[in-house]
Amino acid sequence: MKLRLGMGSCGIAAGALDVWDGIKEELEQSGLDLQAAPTGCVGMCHHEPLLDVIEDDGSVYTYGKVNAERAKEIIRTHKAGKGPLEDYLVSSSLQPNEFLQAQFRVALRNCGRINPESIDEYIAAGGYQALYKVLKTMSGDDVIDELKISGLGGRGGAGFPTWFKWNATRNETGSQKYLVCNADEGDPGAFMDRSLLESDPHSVLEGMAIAAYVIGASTGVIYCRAEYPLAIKRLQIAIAQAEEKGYLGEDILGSGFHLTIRIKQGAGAFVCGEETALIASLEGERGMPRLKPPYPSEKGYWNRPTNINNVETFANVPWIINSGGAAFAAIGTTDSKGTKVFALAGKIKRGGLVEVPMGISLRDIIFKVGGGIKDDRQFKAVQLGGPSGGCIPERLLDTPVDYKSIKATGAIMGSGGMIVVDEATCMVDMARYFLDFTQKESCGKCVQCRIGTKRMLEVLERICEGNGQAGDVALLQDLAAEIKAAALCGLGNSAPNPVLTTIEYFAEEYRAHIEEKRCPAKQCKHLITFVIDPVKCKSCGICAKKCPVNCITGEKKQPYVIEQEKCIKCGTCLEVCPTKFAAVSVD
Amino acid sequence: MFHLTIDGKNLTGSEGQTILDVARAGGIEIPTLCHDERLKPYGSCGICVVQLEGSDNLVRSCATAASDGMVVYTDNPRIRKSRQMTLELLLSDHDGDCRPPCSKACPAHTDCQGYVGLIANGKYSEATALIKEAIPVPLSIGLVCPHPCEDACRRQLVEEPIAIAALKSFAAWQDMNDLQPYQVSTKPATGKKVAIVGSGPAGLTAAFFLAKEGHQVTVYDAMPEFGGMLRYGIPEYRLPKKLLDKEIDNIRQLGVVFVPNTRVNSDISLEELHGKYDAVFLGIGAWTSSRIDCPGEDLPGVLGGIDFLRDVAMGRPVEIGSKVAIIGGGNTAMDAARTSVRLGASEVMVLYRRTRAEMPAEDLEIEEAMEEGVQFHFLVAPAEISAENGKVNAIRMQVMELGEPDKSGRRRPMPTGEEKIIAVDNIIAAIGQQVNTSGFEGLELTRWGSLAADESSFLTSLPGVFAGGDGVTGPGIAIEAVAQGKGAARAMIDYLAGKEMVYTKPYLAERQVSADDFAEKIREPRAKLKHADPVARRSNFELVSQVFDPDEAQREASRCLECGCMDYFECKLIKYAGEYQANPIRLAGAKHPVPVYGGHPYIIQDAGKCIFCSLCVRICDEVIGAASWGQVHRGFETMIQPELGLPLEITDCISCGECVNVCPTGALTARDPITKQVPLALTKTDTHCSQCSMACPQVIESYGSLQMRAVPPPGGLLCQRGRFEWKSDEKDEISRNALLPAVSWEEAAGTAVQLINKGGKWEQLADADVIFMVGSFKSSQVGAVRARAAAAGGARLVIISSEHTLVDDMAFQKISVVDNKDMWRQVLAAVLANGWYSAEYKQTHADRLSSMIIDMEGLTIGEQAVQLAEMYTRARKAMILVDGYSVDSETMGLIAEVVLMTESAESLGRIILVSSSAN
Repeated sequence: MKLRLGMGSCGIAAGALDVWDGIKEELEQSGLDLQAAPTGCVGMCHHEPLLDVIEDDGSVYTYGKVNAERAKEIIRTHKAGKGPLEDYLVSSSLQPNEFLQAQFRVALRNCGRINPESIDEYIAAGGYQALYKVLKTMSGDDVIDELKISGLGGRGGAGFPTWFKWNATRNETGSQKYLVCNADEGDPGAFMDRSLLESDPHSVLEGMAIAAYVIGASTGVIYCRAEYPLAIKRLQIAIAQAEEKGYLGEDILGSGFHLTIRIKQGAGAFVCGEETALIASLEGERGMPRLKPPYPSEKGYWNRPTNINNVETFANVPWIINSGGAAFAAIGTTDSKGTKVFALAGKIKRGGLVEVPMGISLRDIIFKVGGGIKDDRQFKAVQLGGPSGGCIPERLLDTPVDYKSIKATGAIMGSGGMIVVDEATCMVDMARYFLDFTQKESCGKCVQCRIGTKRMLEVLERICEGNGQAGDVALLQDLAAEIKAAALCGLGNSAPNPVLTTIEYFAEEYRAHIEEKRCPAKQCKHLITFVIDPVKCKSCGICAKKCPVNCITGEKKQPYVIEQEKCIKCGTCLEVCPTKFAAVSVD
Repeated sequence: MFHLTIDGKNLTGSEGQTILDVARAGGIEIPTLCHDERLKPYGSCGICVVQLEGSDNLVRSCATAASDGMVVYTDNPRIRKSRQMTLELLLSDHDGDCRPPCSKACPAHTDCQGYVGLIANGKYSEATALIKEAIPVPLSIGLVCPHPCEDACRRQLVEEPIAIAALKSFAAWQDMNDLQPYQVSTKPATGKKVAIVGSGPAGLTAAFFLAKEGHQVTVYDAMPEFGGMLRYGIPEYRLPKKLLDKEIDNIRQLGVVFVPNTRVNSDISLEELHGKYDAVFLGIGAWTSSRIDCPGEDLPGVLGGIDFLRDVAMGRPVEIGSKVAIIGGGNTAMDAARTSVRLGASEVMVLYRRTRAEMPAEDLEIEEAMEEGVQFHFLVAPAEISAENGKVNAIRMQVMELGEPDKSGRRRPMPTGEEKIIAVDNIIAAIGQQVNTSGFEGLELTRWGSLAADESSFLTSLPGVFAGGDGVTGPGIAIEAVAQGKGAARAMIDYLAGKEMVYTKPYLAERQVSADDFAEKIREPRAKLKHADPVARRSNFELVSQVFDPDEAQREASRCLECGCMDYFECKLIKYAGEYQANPIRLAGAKHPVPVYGGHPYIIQDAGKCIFCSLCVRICDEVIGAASWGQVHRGFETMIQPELGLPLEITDCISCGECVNVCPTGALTARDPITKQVPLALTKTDTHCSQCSMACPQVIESYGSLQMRAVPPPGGLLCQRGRFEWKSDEKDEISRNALLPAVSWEEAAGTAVQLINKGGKWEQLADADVIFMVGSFKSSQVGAVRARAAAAGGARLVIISSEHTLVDDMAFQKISVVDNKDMWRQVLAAVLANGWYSAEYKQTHADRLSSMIIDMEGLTIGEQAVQLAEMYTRARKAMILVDGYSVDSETMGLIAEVVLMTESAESLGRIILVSSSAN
């Protein structure tokens, strides 16, 4: 029997360290000689901390929301041969959780299954076989052909054919070329790269080694945000292990090919996820995009040919080499092949990291994998592609997840952020939120992005504050058109997307805000009032007690009253009023 | 080489050229705010967008490589719309004053800041010339104008406004008394004839600007003399008529014909003028006194204010008694009251239906009237004028109180029911004037009975007939009539040229300020004009207020806060805003935060005007190598700051001013070596800097005789001394005092520079594979910048200096020696010891060689010296840059010896010595 504890950032945040201590304690006290190891994230973040029990027959039992005491109980139960302990069981190899059923794991194949700090486990899972195969049996062109067959596109968002980029850099002359892994994941609510790096760093390194071999680079850089300390730590461990085992460094596997990989910690500027800004940052300059062309494949890092791919793209590569491009191409649709990892977040029952075959409908992801909307509320929209993306309404939920179809909705595939919102979300406010993000993260270089997004934001703010004017929607559209057409980089070009899609699909909400000074979702503070129904109020006083600004007054047997001038619209009263009274309402 | 089409023009491009490069070379101007040919394409402004055939998208021409067969459009509605929006975004975030409030408040938009600045610099004739771009009679206007400019002057946020009007009179007075008064030049005759009816400020101004344009102008006036209300409505003690005559004479000198005593109606008809002339301007004024509408108004002894002033001005006998009451509170009332005093009335009173606070008359006029003994009765309105023996003897007045504000914003006077009777001998009604339109029956009138004319084209209902001034607007102040005359002249010039008359008001940025913004300003009270003694004044018509003397004027002018942007005449943003009719009103919003610091001796940052093109940052980094500017923060908060947030003066800034030169707006401006900075449209003169032997090309920018600024020509460079420490007077003296046949300074300098730079030494740098830079070049930073460019081009740069230099980062090797002389002795010794001298030298200088060998014996030759000697002798082409300010002549000799010994006498040309005395 073996134990595996989910110790990605999600697991740790949910208390996995305590569980770990509990397991150690139990093993020590009971004198059991059990192998217990940390693993990464299997994706079921909503069930963390997760503990796997692997019986000697190979069957796996996954327990969710485990604490130290429960862990002990689980160990004892299994050891006593009385397992599984149904109460906490969330999945098993016999009966996988629904969440996992609809998934197809390529990039995440090892996540939550192996110890990310053990190269041996990676190798045992078939790791570095692809690199071996490439170095021993394949030419660069062979690899490119295989990638071409696979149809792998860049998973950072644009889906640009990976083989083409590799080939372009490969065909550049010059002795010094660079390989860069873009791990500067900055979308709010997205955690695909972090999770992958924390859970299976070697698959990324192996993908990078193959890429470096193909393009002719001997230096690789992983640009990872400094806010991902665990990912960086595990990458450092992985690099050291790979060097020790001869998968990195000089004369790799006796092929004469050498590669050193280092990590560059980014300071957390969203725009540095844009490849030219990333390069500027690598060179020690302010992270601002540069003009393209020249493309990095011609003149990138230090003006040398440079290939940049996203974490997930690299993680796919070893699988493709091992299983063949055709196997990858068999997954997904004609135009969008393979799988895509999404970070499912927002008002969804089962939030977490999922990898699904391309072509699956949004409805299936949200309702089958994600289990539907939290508290069984009404679905309203799903935001794809983070602040650069757009929101897709209910009526388009059957849209298949492929690059073309998603783009047709006005959203983008993006790097995998998927935020689900329910009826209680104001779409104008959501557009405002995303624009506020992009505006603050604009590098300031081009006029369209620096000032254009600010002006759009100001218009959205005044709409949310009830000061919207006739013509504001047209003004937003004018500004958006100009920004999309003339901004310098992807950040600016795509910044208006959340606004444009909400205008397209939720025009009525804009109209209500502007013309009727009303927020249909009852979220915009300036447009709502909280009131206590004097008939329903039972004078319990809890609202007054909890009100942070003390604007509710009343006394025994008298209904409580909210002093509107003082009210900050925080909604605490509504929250705390006992459901049986339901005296507080929002207008 | 390949071919492409831009705007239908077939052009040739070559590898590496952008669309912008090819377009420019082909004479097609594409606007841009962030591009400089010396810098890498940057693409931040997005103004240079163009469209490629077959594509819906716009691309930045500064960054898009031109390629074979490309079809490019640089101007179409889509592109214009994009540029307009970009400019509007920039303007919406632009915090500054394009023009000063004084100039904007002036109805004629006289460049007040400009002429005040010129006066501060002692340039009175230039000031007059500038004023005459708006006002043809500056002295007269200066004396009579109620100066809305001063009401708008921000100096009052410190203490009191600048005495702008008095400075105007001063400049014009100085110029009038100059040996060679300023005279505008006229364009060649157009053969077009224009008639002007009325020689008041509107007519005179229209005549002046039309004559300037080369049109033949005839001015008709109903009165025997010219000047209209300036002559007949303004008393002599405010405007001496001989001064007015001089200014009118000045207009006459432009070829304008003045015809007196000719009234349209009785003497000539509008039809006749319309038939005889290509265009007609009507500046007929408002000459009829308004009636007070009370019983007794028509009694003898009741006079109209303007009629009274006219009769006095004409020298007609005007009999007034000892008690005179003036009804009204405007300037005409003051003029009538003070004239009555001078005519001998012992008791002069002004009766006004509101209070002092509501009086439309100028404060100074009221004060001076009081000084002269005029009494004021407020809150009284005439009810009835009574007579005794057929002559006025009293006026019954209703006592009023102030009620609710009326349309003008002033509180409306309401009768209280109470009454007062005042005994008087005369009543002068100065409550307003009306337009007498008899003779103009064919024209449409306004509902107030004045001539109807279009606000911007000044056209009346009769084609070719224009009108302006009081005759259209009703009674106003003189400067308003001047503005009308100028506006009408502009419209008429277009009309006569057959052009479309479309006038849109250009957008000008405006800054919101308060007294807090000037809290640090030192208080300097406004200069007071000397006034004639009030008692003496009562009995004569001499000019009451004097004119400043030059010292007073310069001091007063120096108080100007310089509100208007120094870059207005060169600002690319406002230029493009005009061209693309950008108006940011609908995009109004927050403005980016502005860092506050100051103190650099030459460079002033006004970050509110920054458009973040980063030209300053890039030029300082990529070309100069000082990297004194940096970009900080993100998003809308992004701003340009000196590196590491230090004050600019303690960064590596070398004060070359290149950041100022490239700044497309007024975000960076220079403190040039003149008394007061002033924004003006300048004339450029090419010359060369005389500060050191580099003799860099230099452009002197001047306004008339005021040399204001020295800048490098496009693509050139000047150092601190060439940019900011030049002396304008020297240049003047050389050409003026030359005993030999006069040559222009530019010619002399050009010849000298050709001699100095024989063989194009600096150009040779680009060709060198090894460059030795000897000395720090701290005094001649341009030398170091040139070395940077050469090093960037691939030359190996060896710096031999114990000090930090501007170009250390580019050095192939930096040799820090304390004693340069010793080092070069060693280098020489190394050459000798290794026999690296030329055969030719050995042959021609055998004795010298042997004596040197003996000399050098025993000298320890360091490794570095050997290295230098070897590098020099092995180079394909080595150049030696010597900083004559930090290297002594003995060392110089040693360097020359090394060159001479290893190569030939001609190769001495490969030494470039930069020093103050090399030329």
